[in-house]
Amino acid sequence: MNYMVAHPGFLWLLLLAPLPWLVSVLQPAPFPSLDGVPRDILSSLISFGVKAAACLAIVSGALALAQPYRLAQSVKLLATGAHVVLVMDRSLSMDFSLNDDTAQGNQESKTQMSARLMTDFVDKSPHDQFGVVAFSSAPVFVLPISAHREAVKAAIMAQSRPGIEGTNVGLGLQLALAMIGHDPDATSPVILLVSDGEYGGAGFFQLDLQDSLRQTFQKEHAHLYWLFLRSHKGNEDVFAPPPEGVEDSPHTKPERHMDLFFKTLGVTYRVFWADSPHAIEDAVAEIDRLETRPVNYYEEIPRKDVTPVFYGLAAFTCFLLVVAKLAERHFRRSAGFAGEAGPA
Amino acid sequence: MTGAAATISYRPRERAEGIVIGAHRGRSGGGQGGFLDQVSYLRQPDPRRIDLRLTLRDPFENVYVRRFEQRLAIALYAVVDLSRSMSFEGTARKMALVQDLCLSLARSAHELGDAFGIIGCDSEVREDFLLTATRNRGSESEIARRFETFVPRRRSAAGLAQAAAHLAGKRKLVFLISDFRMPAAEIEKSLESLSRHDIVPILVSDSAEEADLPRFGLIDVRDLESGASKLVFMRPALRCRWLAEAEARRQMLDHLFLSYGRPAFELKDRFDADALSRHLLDI
Repeated sequence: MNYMVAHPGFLWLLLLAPLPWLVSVLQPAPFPSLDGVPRDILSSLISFGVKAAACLAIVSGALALAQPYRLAQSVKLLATGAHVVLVMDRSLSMDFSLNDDTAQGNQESKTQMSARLMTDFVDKSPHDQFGVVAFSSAPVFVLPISAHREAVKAAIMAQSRPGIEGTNVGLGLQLALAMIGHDPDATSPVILLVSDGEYGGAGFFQLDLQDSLRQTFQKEHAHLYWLFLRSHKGNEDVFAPPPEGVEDSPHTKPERHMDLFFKTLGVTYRVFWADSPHAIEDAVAEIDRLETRPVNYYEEIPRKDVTPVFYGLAAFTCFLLVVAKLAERHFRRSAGFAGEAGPA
Repeated sequence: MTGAAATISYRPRERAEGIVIGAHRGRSGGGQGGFLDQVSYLRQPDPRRIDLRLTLRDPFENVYVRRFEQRLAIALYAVVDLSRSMSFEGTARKMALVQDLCLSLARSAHELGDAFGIIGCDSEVREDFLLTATRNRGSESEIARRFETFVPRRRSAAGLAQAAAHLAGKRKLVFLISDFRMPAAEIEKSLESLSRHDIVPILVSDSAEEADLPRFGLIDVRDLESGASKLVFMRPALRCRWLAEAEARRQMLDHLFLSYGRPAFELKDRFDADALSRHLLDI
């Protein structure tokens, strides 16, 4: 808790704080001897109370004039959540709708859909932190892992532009893992791959890249979720083995081989087949539910003016003093004082 | 003030000594005054006062001499506490009350042909407030002037015990005027030093100190002598305790004063000459 004052010059007034202990708040009533006054604990307490109130009134008044405020700060808190790196596919195919048609009228393209869903995901996960990586032929470092929601959402929205040729999932994942590796706070990393898969993918994972990915995934313990943006075409299952006689290779069935490769990584991996907008929302909710690892996050607390507290305290103590002052009594009779009634 | 004009009546507890002719019964039989008694010539060999009638009547043929009681004047002294506690102002100013009393005493004494003097004391006997007993009526205006210009400043009344040094000689009627707020041992010390005289303690008090205390409220009591301050939250329960403590102290003082001859006269709020006369004459 750090506090500062706006006008430190007024703090000199704090030197007046001991004044109530030196000078009585009330008008003294002369009496021949204190021996004639009974000892009384309640009176002593009230005496201390009146002095303390006067002292507090001076102190809080001086502080209020100095206008104290609490500095803006960030508090480290623990919550359940994840450090999610959104790996977003920027290939040309993402410009089509879910049914692989050119988006027409009010139809959503896959890019727009993924941006909208990811924005919702960011909004619904208050304690998660997000990084953004985009990829097409080459990966693009968009935003490091951060808790700034507005920045994350802006980075996501920035992806809703026409796609670029090529899909290189491997390099995108590698960049995402590098991002995780560079962030020491990323204790529960998650990679959320938003992609519609490989169209006519040619040799997408070189062997050395496969080894490298496998090692890095294991090192970072990153969970991998794949939001697979494609609708079912007829009864074709892209993950199922091909029928008899058809070649089973990464060239003919790239998604099936990507899936097989991800399963060999040895980390939590799930693929969510998002064949309709509704299914995608379910998938996002499922990811949210699965990721319950503890995560540290920082909450920003803005600068706060605490002057009213001190003005209130000063007003309250002054009110007490006024009450004490109203209760003040003296020994001397004001009316009919013999010594001043007439000439001696 | 009206009190200043009033005179009081007083009577010393024992017979006066001295040679100055006055109004009080003397201790020694002399040749003048009222008839006292007859004693044997052997006791008072004064052939001028031989009582022939008794001498002749006596079958044992003793010679008797008449004795007469010489009426004598006495000296009155007011030993006044001038410490700061006497500057209390409640229902009345204590110093004004003391002034009234002293002026009345001076007038009364001078009317009877007695001498009156004042010994003012604070932490010691004040030389500037020391008026030797005199029958001079002009001293009354001097007393008034002294009181009017005097402001009590010192914080102790220890001088009361030293006043006896200024009261040497014959037995005097001494008015010990104070609020008696000092410790009992100190009071007893001054009473003891004055014990060869006829002491009349005058307790100067004020109803604002006791009966007229407020029932409720905050009082920042400041000790006039030490200057110390103490906040008191007045309430009926505390007021009862306050009055009870004051009453206990009053009884202690009465007990102390009675052992030195007379109870105290309480000079409270106003000077009542008749009440003081009744007190002094034991009516």
